[in-house]
Amino acid sequence: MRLESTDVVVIGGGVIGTAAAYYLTRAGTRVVLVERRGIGQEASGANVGLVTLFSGHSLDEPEPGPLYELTRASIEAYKSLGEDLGLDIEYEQCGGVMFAETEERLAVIRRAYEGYRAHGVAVEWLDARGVRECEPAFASDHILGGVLCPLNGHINPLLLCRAFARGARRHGARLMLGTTVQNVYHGNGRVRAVRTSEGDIPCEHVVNAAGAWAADIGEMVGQRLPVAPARGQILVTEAVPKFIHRVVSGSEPSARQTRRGNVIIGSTVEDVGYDKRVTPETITEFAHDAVPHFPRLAHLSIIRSWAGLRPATPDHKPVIEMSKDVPGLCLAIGHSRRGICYAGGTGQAVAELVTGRPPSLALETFSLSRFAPAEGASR
Amino acid sequence: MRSVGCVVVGGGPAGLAAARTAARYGVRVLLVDENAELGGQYYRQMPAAFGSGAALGRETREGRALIDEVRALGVETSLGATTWAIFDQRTVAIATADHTERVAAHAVVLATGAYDRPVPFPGWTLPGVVTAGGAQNLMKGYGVLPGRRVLIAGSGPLLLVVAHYLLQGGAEIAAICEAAPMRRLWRHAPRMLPHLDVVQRAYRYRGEIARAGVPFFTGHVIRRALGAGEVTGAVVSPCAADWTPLLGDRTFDVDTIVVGYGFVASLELARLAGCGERWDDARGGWVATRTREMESTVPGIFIAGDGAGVAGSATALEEGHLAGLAVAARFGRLTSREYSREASRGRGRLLHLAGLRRVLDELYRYGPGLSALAEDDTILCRCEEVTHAQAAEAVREGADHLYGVKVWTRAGMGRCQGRMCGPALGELIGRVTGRPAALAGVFTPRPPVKPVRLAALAEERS
Amino acid sequence: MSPEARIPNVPRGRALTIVVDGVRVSAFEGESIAAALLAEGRRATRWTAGSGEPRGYLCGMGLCQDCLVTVDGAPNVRACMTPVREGLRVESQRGFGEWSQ
Repeated sequence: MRLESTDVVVIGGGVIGTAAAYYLTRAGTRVVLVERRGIGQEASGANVGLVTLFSGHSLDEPEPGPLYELTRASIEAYKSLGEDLGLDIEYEQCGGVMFAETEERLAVIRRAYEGYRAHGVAVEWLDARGVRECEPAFASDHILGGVLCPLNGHINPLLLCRAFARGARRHGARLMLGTTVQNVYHGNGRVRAVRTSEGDIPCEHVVNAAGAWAADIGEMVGQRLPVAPARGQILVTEAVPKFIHRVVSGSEPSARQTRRGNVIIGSTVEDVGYDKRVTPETITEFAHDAVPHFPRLAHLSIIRSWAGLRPATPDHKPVIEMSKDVPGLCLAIGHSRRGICYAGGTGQAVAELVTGRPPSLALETFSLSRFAPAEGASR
Repeated sequence: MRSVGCVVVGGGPAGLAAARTAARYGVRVLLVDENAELGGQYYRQMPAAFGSGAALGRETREGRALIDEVRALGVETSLGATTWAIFDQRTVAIATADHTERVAAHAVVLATGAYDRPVPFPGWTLPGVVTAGGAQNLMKGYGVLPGRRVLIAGSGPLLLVVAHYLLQGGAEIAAICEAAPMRRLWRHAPRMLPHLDVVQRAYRYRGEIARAGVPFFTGHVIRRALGAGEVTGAVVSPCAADWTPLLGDRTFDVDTIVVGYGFVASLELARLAGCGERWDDARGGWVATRTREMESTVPGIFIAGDGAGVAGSATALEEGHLAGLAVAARFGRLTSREYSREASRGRGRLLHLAGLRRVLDELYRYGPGLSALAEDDTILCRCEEVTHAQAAEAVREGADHLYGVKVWTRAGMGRCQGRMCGPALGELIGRVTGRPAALAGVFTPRPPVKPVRLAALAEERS
Repeated sequence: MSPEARIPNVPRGRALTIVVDGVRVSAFEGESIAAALLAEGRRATRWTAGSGEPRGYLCGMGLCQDCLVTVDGAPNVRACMTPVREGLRVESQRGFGEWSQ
């Protein structure tokens, strides 16, 4: 059955897809978003909600670069998004502490600290006591020192997706939920239509924002995309008065406290295919490892747990570009562990790429061609 | 990790019966219950400190006898122990206050019972509104009245039992409001003949209520709890056959409202273990799918007792017995001829009870009109203080499943893990979408199915 | 505040004293905190975190999480599932309680 045609079909209703739909509609394009379950129900709804400018990933990028810029663009977007859409997305820049317990680690952190500092990013060096003072709820006998980044924080990822979806709808996007993409038609040099369980949608552009299932969509157009599911398990406690004030990085598992008062403890990174079960070994391990670092946790009860499937690429960086092999196809995939950090910036980049405007961010790092054919790249 | 023949989760009638039967045939049984004493709700015991003879009613004494029998058979019991998950291969996770352990079970009997259906209505969160089960636990379990001047609203024979305990305890009952129309009872007379004992008991309670001068309304529902810091009054009104409220408010001065509109089966562990379930319209809720041997859709996991009210306890005992038999048979503890004989006797008794249950299911059939009691600002999710209006807004924005409303409003994210709001939320989604409540689904089960302290989780013993 | 709600002629454990919001209250060994509070007509155990509304005993079987009180400094304890003992300190709690341990 042929449905009404549109400019862009966005495949995937997670944070990337809804962000893309939002910015695309604001740029004046007609958008249909197709999602086989509901908004934000996979990795986008299963993470810790961290939004960090300086954290573990920075150690791989010891000077602020494209990942930093992508995060910064997202943060700017989040600051006003809630207000624009009449929805509190609970974004808080509470500050983040990254610490080291070994000299080796300390040196790595120091290098990144200096690189960021040299570029004017507001990071502070902390000695052991400084780390403890920044976050009194955190206990460790082995802290050597660390970095405070006042701009690190957290957000409610479920409400973030809701906000983007609401915004997209308000600007005219049609959201087809509970609808599965069955094929992407391309011929005569570009994408033509998307076949869904509800009918065919003729379109000029397609955005692949299918998260951990991006490779399935890629196959429909003959692409081998290097995205594989990486399970992350998370535990959540009952709500209690605020006692963890910062985002603390450097211990596994991490623990951060939400606006409501629940403490989110996580997460694993596992290669188990599409298995979303929470395992008893992880529960025991998290309890065993988190309590010594946050002693008050001992008294709290776990009331929830979940597992999400991150869309992981071999280098943990996303692919954001107009496909070179399939004209009209935009890739917004592989956000690995930092989808929430990159969503705002990615959405804006997608809107620019699809409408042919000059991109505000340098996107070369996010090209698919950086992957050798063996790792999986387009044919 | 230690290994046990049969783990029975839940020490109420079904669990006790399953443990007794399995143990009689020589199966090594571990019976786990989160309370300090066995008995569950129906066989609730008074605290040991009250002395061995302490009992306010028949059920307590009956329960005591069964508990003593189970103990005498050498069944290992773990009390104050919460079963918080079932993992692969029937690995049961059990936590106490300070540690947790995983037990590999060759067979599991889930006898986790049921809880009172939470029914949102204006003022339902006020202190002084208690469930029928909550009132019973207080009276049977501690000899304490929930209040001094009580209104009872609900449906089913349990209301009469609660009234009996209240009157015996010296409380005043302002009124009893049975939602069902209870018309043309004579139609059911033939099918009730085999169950005269139940009918007699019902009439005895009705007589007691009438002699106490307590007004008994049929076809009436609770509308509102009045009061600021606690209940000071109750408003009721007539209702239609499907329990939809009608005009004609009546107000009573009370300090307590006992609410009893049926039960929700506690299926969280069964769901987590992958057991199948189906929607039951008469109950207005989900029930576990089982073979006539009480086995669930997961091999080796049996489910007994699902709390269908007063008749439910007799059924629970029989189901527990059948589950225990099936477990014993799996362990080769009885010949297939013995098993056939015993099982068919048990099934015969269940069939007999099914006749009674069918009448009760018809008389007290769940009325979806109850979902019209709530107003926009009535709390739906008690834990997270989410109103009906907030939940409805999420549904209109595209969240047509319990999960969708949960992630956008926090309904179901509280300490009760969605137990208090799940049923009503399903009905609200049904109303807003115009589709059956069953399609709204359930909250995805994940470990732990009950809250467990991190200190206990951190201390895993084998 | 309604008068004593204990049913007469029920044998109970030995008498003891607990402290409720700073006030000494009689109870009996074996009772749950909820039973002891309700026996004295004390209904509200907590006030919610969001709108500060009163809550108390509802289900009596540890499921509804509304009878939460702070016991000996530890918040979010279910009154209906916790037995009394001599000298136990019970405090009704606002929101999710205070951590005085």
